[in-house]
Amino acid sequence: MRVLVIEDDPDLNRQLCELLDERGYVVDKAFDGEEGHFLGDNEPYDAVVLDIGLPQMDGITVLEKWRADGRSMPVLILTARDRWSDKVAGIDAGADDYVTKPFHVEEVLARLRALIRRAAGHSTSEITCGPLVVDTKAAKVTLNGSVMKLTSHEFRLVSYLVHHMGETVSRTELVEHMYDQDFDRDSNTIEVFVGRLRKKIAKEFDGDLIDTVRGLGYRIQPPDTK
Amino acid sequence: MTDEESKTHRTKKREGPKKRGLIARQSLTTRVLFFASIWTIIAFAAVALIISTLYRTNSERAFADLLRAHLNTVIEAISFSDDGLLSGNPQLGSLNFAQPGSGWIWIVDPIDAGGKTSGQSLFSVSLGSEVLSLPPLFQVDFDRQYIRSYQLEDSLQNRILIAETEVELGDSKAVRIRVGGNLDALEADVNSFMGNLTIALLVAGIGTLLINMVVILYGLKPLDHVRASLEQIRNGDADQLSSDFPKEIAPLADEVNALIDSNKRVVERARMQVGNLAHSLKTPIAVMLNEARNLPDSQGELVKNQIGMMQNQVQTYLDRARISAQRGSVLARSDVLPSLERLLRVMNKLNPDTEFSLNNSAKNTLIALEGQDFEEILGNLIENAARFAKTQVIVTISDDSDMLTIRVEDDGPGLTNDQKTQALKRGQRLDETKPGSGLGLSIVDEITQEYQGEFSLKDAEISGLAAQLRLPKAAV
Repeated sequence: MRVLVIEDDPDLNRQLCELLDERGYVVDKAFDGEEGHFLGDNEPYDAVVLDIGLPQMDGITVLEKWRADGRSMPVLILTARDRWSDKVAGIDAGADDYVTKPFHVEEVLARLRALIRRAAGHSTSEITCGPLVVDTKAAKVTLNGSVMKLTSHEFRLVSYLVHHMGETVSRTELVEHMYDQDFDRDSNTIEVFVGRLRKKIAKEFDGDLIDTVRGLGYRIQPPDTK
Repeated sequence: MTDEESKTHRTKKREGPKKRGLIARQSLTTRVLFFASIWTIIAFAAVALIISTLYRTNSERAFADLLRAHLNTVIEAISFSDDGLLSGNPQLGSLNFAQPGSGWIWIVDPIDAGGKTSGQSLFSVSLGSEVLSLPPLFQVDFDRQYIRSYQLEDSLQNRILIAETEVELGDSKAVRIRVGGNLDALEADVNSFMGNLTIALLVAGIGTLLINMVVILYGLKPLDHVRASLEQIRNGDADQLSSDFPKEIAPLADEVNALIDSNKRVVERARMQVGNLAHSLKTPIAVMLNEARNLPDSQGELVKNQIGMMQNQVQTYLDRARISAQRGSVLARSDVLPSLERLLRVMNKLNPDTEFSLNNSAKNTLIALEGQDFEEILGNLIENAARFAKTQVIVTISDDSDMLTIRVEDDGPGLTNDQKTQALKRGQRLDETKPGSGLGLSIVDEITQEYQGEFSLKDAEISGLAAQLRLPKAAV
């Protein structure tokens, strides 16, 4: 899952990025409204953490511009102004949720997780795909009840596929959502990770959860729906 | 300044006017009325005194002149007959001289060279058999016209003023002529005039007092208008003094308006600065709060506690700035329906798994609150309800003649009576597992009280908690 953090305070920005990175998210960061707007306008993010009080272009304007341009990724706004009129203005501008400062970064993470899950149409933090259960809250994957040992990249891959269960996800889309903007997108590492993931699943489950859709990409779905 | 000190300070300020003098505390109208009335009474009393004195003096002079005229008439009418006796019938034009006991008399006495009566006197019918007690001759001097005047009393207690002279009627025969007039008649005339004068002056005085009162009340009405306008400003019904004052008061009204504007700007600036300071502190507090995670347990806990205290202080002063701003807000009036619909739309978006519904049975949904403050109150209540609700939140609006009741119910676990009391305390969080600073309900309570409303927590009909607000309705 790829997340954009737009926060002008360098320390708070770093803390958010570090925690998101720790929890398996791919994070891009911006420190002002214009840079943040540009990134959000050009990169496919699964969610955005957007501060309202930003230099150059305030967060509400950034959000309104995105929504006017049809950008529909979930946006969590951070605001120091905790009056309801400010919150309503943020939500009316197109935000999906808000967190008021000061906050624990875990709270931001929890809200973000819920937003990403809801955007993908899932109502709980545990997403089940047959024997495979992805716990987005604990950043943990279990197969037939046993915890799988996954690298961060493998977790990102399975998490993204499970969030889009039943949909065919292209390699490009996977690269865009698993790596930050500086990654070399021509590499074939996605196939390597899919191969490793299939092997780890095969140890516990007799069947292939991840299908390769020739020329289009990959798709994960429960075995009983195939 | 502590709360206690500031309370004492406010109390002292309120008690200030009690220390001023009695006159200073009375209204300007009362003072002007009092002094104008006193002056009117004194002026009319003085006029009465002067007029009565002048009238009496003139009446007495006219009375004396009348007696002199009668004296001359008697002199013209009297003569000695050939046999040496006095004769004559003076026509004085008044029946009083023919009526015994009237107090009006004339007497002619022949006198010898020594001034003693030396023959038969001639006198008016009115004297009858009356023997007057005359003063000795040396006691009263003659004036330049050789007339002397004195008072005496007859047997009927008539006070009589006598004009007396002595003349020669040829052949060296002299007579003493006295003409007397009844002073009681003069006194009755003066008293009658005084009575009429008093009635006239009383009528004029009371009329003047009433006219003074009307003029003063009408003249000072603009000041009363100023007072009423200031009261309206204090009650939040107006934000400026109107501009239709007379030219004498208009500069004062302009100055007061300028002062109100200046005061508003100062308060607004101070509030903004407190708000900005508090808001600017929130980001560093968030940074420190999160950085404390990386510290060893005991140190991290200590830092987190201290940061928590800082956070509470920041929130407390933000709330105070907010409430002081509300105190200064004017013409507070808003419709709850659009605000509620907006809030519920936002809540629906934020809580897609919870069902929000609105039941309105109120005829008039206008309240005497600023819209933003109402959203602050309801936003907190609905957010709290949504946090704890299992599936639904119901907002109900009803009204009576003066108040609008808004009830926010959820189907969550609810609160015990003790918990309801605790929930209203600042910074109190009953459920640490739910997000939030725990300040919402105390802010709701403070803002509601600021607008003379009521806030209470009850049991909901759908099993959870019901937060009930009663807010004053705005005049339609």
